[in-house]
Amino acid sequence: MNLYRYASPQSFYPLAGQMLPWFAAAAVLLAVAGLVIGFLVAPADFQQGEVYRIIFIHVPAAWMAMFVYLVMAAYAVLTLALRAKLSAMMTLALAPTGALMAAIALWTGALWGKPTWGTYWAWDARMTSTLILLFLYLGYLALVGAIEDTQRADRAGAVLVLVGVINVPIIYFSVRWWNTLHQGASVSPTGGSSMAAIMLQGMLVMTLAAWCYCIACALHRVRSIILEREGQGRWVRRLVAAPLGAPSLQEAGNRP
Amino acid sequence: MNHWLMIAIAYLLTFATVALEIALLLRRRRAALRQARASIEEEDAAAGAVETASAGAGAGAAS
Repeated sequence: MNLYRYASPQSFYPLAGQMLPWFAAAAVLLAVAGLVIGFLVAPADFQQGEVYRIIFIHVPAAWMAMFVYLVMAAYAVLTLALRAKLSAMMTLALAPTGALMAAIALWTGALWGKPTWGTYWAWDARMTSTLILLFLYLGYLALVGAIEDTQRADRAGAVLVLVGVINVPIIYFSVRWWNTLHQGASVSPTGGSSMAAIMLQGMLVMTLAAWCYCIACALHRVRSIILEREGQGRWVRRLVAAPLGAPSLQEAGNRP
Repeated sequence: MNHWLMIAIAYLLTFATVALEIALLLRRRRAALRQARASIEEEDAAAGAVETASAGAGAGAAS
């Protein structure tokens, strides 16, 4: 199987269409399972009481906000190094969902912080660097939207994404480098977990749901971006001429 | 501070924004398809006009 084939928007469009329903269905099923574990199976925390249940959205959203930005940075490298059109489109498709994840992480953190720390917000390193991440997402979207020439917009956006990627390790290690109000990592790849097993399971299932949701959104959005940018292509003409939902809609991109 | 109130606000706000993002995704897709169809129709109309004009010019030359 030649994976380079899928670097072209024409080939990727039908592939994205085929993958999209699977990721969307997986996101819904995993979210339902995660919420059942989080609300019906996992007990209240002995220190924080019920309010800890916000972690089932707060932590997955915060992880996805960082991870989506790293994926955008990888695509930005490909955009600058190879001038690959699809990479720039994927970067653009990921940004709104990444911004949403950062925003969810911030407001759920605030709602968790009030009962546990006594304040919605503090200018500590973890919270401030996550806010900067949200601004980076919004700045990227504003920059790309402000430049009319799409190639120039893509290159400028890619440079901004790469400059901003330094913020991701700062977010991750902020609780170790500085004395923050935000608690340290409860789960780490090297140190294991300090959480109860059932709480960890609920959180990981919700993380998988958030992962599938982000992929589904990015695939759906990149299909729209491909149509917007490649609208003059002959393959788009065949695609659009076919009735919506017809099998040819999926296959049109594969034909030469 | 009522913990369940905080949980309810956090989850409802999250689900509301997720629903909003999905609605915007669907709207953008419909708009992209509409735009692609419109540009194709424009091209077809322009090509049809050129054909009619050249046929007219050919007929004029023959007569």
